[in-house]
Amino acid sequence: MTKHIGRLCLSTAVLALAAGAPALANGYNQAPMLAAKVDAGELPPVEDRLPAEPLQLEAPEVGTYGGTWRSTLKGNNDEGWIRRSANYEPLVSYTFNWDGVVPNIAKSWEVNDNATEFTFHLREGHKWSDGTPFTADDVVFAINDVINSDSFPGERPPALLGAVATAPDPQTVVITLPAPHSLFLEELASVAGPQVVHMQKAFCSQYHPDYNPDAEKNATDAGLSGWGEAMMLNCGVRRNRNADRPTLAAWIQQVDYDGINTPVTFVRNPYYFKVDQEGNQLPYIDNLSMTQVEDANSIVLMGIAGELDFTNRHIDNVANKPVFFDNQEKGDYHIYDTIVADMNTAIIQLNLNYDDDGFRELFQNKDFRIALSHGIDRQEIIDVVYAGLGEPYQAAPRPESPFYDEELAKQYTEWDPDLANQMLDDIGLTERNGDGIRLLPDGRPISIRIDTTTDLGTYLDILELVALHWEEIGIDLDVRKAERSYVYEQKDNNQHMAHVWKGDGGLGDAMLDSRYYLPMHDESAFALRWAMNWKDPNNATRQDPPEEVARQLDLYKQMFEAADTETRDDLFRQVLDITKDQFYTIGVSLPPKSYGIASNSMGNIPENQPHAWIYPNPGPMNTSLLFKRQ
Amino acid sequence: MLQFIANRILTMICMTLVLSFVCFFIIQLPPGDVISAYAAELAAAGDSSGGQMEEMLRERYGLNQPFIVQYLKWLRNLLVGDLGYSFNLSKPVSEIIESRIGISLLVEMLAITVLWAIAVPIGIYSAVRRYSVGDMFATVFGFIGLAVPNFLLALLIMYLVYVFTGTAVEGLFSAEYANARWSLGRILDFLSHVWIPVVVIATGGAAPIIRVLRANLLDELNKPYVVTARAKGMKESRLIMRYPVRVAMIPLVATVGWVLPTIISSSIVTAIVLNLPTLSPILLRSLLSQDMHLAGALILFMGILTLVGTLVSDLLLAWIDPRIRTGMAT
Repeated sequence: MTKHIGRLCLSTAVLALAAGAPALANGYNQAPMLAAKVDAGELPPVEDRLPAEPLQLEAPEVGTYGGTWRSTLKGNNDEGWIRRSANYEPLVSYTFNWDGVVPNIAKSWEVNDNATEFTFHLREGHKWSDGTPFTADDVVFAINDVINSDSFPGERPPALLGAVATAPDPQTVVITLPAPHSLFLEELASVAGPQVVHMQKAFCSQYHPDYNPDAEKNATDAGLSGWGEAMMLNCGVRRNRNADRPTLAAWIQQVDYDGINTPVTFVRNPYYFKVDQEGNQLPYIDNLSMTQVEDANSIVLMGIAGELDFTNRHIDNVANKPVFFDNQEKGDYHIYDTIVADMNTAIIQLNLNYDDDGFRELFQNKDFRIALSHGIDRQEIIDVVYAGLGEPYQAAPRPESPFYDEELAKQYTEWDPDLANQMLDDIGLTERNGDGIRLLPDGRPISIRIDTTTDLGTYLDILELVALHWEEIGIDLDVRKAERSYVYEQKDNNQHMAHVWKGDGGLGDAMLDSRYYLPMHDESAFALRWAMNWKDPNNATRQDPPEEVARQLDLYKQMFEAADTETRDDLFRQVLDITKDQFYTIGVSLPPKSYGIASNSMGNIPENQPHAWIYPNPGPMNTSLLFKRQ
Repeated sequence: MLQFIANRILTMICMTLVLSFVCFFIIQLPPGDVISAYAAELAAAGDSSGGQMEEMLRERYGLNQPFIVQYLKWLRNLLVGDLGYSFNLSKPVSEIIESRIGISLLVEMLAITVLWAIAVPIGIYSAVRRYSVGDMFATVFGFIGLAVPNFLLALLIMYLVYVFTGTAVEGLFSAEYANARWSLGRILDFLSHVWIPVVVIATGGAAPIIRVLRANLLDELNKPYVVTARAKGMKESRLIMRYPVRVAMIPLVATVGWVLPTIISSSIVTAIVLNLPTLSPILLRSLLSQDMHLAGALILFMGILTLVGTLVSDLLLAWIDPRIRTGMAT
């Protein structure tokens, strides 16, 4: 199996991070616009603005200073794009390939033996965009006073709830967790992580009642529900409404993102803490300009007119691709590939906890599920629905993932109706009704009802083909269109016979979101009652799982408590081995690559970067490395 | 006359109250509320929904209270001039309206001026030169303008501009002028953008005015007083403008007041297609996101503008048509 990720143009960028920054003999360089300010006496020199040990990145191509990166925001709740593009500066960051965690704002860290105490070392001389020192106190404020307050409705990374932070000295933060969490660093690097270093205590404490007795009154006087909401609006990563907030990110927001101002503009942060291999202070690009649009088609039009420099937001669907493809030359841009983190286009899940005895016993028979899997002509689905893009695939980590297991991914994917029929006969399902549908031992026809949401059309296309394939092996798949909330109500109450959804958890999210690898999640629709053992053991609907599944849950628990990543990863492989053996769900195909558009004048565009919600593409590439060719 | 106005204003106040109830009720009708709409929007963009936030905010905004309580609270605040708070935009409603009303007014007034400046002369011409080539031409184009939906016309113009110049015309300003202060450069930039919405709105509205004016004028032109005036040798242009046109305008004047609410609503789809920073997209957004206070304020505002517009129309009619004036006095 070729590893697609091998061709990543930026993979070197992240490898150099851990090495730290060797002192550069000839000092540091800065952008001309900053040099002018230094000369005018408005700014301290670059050496004084950078921390003692800046984070040195290895740029694929050393860029030139200047220019504007143009993109768009759709409506007034599109802060996701700001978080992905300009503001992904967590304490520790995902690697480009999403296979680990590297230093970012923290220069290093230590973990105790049972993964409950994490010590982070900050950079001496690191400064906020207003020139004041960034210290451990700011982090302690964020974790103890804001994220752990129930009054704060903004982003509260779940891993930090119940955590206590202390600051033994200004450059050291110790975070103590209530329970072991071997994936804590991965959570800190996720899209929610930057909240921890998003709040300058001096600025944000004015919204906190412990520091400002009038905070609550000020908030309610302004028409807000309370101080927590004021904090979210002014200092949260979720709603970037206040441009006055000092930042650690590469660019400083210039106007509030309030749905009225357009474009939302940013200008370079003179105190940004990263440099390239030649000692040039980053970012290369001076300004960001995000035009606020009302409609995704406006983004497409701006894109083909060459008015966007680098984006995949809201436009990366199959329907738009030919339009972007045809206008590349005229608009002077090109298409770049991204890797969708999902590992499957559709996972068909028979409900192994279904209340009806006859069907539940049938669904729990592994040979029955294998027969159904052999009964699907996946290549036809790939050709018809995905224009030939993709490959037959089960619920398994993607080929790019360190947990890739070819057997797990490919088992039972060959289309073999004869074998399927043989297996079904062997199970004893030999009786058929007048329509050729096999009968249960109690005489009922095997008709599997599956409700699917109408707002996501491809599931319907896929299932209708599967229904045709299964007709050949004497199984009736009764596909029904339904409103999304109905489908979810059925599933949440365990009333569903079968369920279909895309394959989350294909890349770096595999360990955290293992919903298809074992029953542990609200979305583990194949065994919600077994999943209760993991997420809510006191729930009345909980059922004891079979021995092997219980062992798998136990291994999964040990994985979170693992002291080092090697043990942790090894335990997760054992979890996946049981997944392979149990064969809970039936997958269809690996999703094709997605894409974005980039102006031909932009340098260091990342190819084949993963794309997911918790991995906020393009953030982990270090967008400060993008540059405009002169 | 004064009594007439007083009567109308009293009726208006009652109408406004009814209106406020109806619009609040309608906005509440669909399932869900502003918080769930916000969560759904985040989810559609691939973001996690943040369920913890939802319940907390719903509690704090009083969205769990019964409808009538929410309505009365809103009404009470309205009476003391507090338009409420937009959750979706995290701003007081009055601030939002204030920031957009000027530009909305400017675009709409420009469009309406152009509309009337085109439609009235063409209407008169079509009537006076009935069945001439010019009349046919105006009729055909008027109907095409009427038949083609505004947003389609907007898309068409955007596409043609893109094909011929390679630029995407959107919004009312280029990025460099968007957040700048007014200057000569900004005015020119504005004019280079504003012609598209103006043309789109004007062509869409011209046909009915042309047709109404033409039909009424045709009725008048053959009346005995016109024939008499003509027989006595009155100058044709002066004759037509002074008498039949004045009469023919009456039905148009009666509807001129309806122009007022269009400041917010006329060109919603056009404004979205063209990305105009006016109040229209805000109205749509607030309705989609069930942002009660903002949507309620805007719709109520539109209702009040309609009522005021009707009053203005009545007064104008009285001024233009002596018969109505006499009717009022009695």
